[in-house]
Amino acid sequence: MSKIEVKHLAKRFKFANKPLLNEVNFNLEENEIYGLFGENGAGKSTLMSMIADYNRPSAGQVLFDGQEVHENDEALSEIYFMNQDDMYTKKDKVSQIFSFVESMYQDYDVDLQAKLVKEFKLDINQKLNKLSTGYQSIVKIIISLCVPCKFILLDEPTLGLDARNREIFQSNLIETYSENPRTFVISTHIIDEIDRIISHVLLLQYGIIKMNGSIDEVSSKSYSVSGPAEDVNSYVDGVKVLDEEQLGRYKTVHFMDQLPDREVPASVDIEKMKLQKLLVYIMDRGKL
Amino acid sequence: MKTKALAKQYCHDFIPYIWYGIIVSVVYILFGLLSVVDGQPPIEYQFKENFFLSPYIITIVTMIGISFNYRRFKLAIQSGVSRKTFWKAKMFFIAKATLIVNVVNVIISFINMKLGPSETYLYYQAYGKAFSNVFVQSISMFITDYVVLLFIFVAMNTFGTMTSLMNKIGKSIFYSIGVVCYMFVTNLLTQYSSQRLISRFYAHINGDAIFNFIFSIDAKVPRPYALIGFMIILTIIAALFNLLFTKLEQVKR
Repeated sequence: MSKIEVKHLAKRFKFANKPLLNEVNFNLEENEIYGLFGENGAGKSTLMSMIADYNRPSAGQVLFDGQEVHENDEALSEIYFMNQDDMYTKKDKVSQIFSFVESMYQDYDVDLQAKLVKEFKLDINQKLNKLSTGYQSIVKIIISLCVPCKFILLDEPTLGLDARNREIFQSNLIETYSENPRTFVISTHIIDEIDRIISHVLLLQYGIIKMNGSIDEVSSKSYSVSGPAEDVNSYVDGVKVLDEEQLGRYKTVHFMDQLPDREVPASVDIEKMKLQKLLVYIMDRGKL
Repeated sequence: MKTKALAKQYCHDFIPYIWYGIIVSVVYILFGLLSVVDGQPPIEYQFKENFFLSPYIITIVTMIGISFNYRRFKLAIQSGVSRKTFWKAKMFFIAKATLIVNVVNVIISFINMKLGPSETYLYYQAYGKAFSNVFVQSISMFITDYVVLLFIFVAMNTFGTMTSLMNKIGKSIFYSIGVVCYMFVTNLLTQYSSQRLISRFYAHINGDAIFNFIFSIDAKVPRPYALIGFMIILTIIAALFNLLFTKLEQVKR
């Protein structure tokens, strides 16, 4: 089983007051889907670009199966980074770009590409620079799903995509993952849309990984309890509440703990806390 | 596999620059013909005068196309290759691009020689009597031109690779320094004292002997062997500098 180890990674840009990344440590295991979250400017894209050897870290290392990724053709051919920037020749037709990528990767999935082109209704005879932002993202998404790499890093993959195309992307990601499991790292701000896909959560804040755990582990400890305020209060009494919302008599309380060992009032609903709610809380408060 | 595929893509992206070079040459020739007033000088003469510069114009325009590095870097790194493989792909591409440009230039030069004396072409000025056999002479001309052009292209790409390490501010400063240095040197050259200094230095290093050796000027029958060898050495040096700059971190624009 292949894995990527990120060890003591740091990045400080020239003339910056403080480092963007400090002592980042985590592993990416094979055949898992990771969600990489963080506020704007937290360093998610920079972190991904360093894993893919686009940028060099100020300190630390990225290892692929124990070998440094930097200047390692074997490792780099197993990592694909879908960048927000335009990396392909803008004046080329989409079909030419697809042909080029196919020539670069021996086991490139041409059939899946044809299927995705059809589903996304992409005109492959258009030049890349003539496409809308959404369709430029679609071109990159199609390539990302078709390349035969073990680790696929997707940086804001749904940028500019409408609801229909976002749906197509998600369903195809799940489908291709089921047929051909590999590791996906998805960085996005639309957490609600991918929380059903991901198996692991990575939260980047203040230059370190604030949260690193499986989605089951995270959601098993976080709950939202809602119902009449007095019933909710009596039920969660003694629990360290993260956040609460009240609308008239109706109250919702969010917490990260075991459920209280007492009978649940009939008027109270208990559900797993939404990942977005939990992450927003952590990002707001800066602590778990 | 990836090296060849990348080099092929780079060539595909480079081809338009040859067309741009041809277009610039045509425009240059047409402007030249505009200067003919009342048939003086004769239009054929004026055409030949301008036409013989076409290979050099094409070379200059394609040099610009060769120098761009960052877009090639982006394509390579997106395709999961190391910087060393990217460098190999670049060198492979430059060798191919040089061949294409050289073929275009040689064809134009042959047309040029058909139109007028062969001495209009630089190779014939220096090595016109190198080989009596026309076929061997043509091969020699092709190889000499190829090697010289290869060095120019590798050097230009190395320059582009170096400047792609800088951001816009860095580039502005770099080019400004270049302009200031150029003005300083040209100003220096107009002064008698500095001319004397340069002449002394030239004599001290025995400059005449070096140039005579490289260009085989003093030989009974000048042949371009030394020039080819010298250009190959310079190309290798430029390519090594290119590798050095390629391995450094690119600045994200």
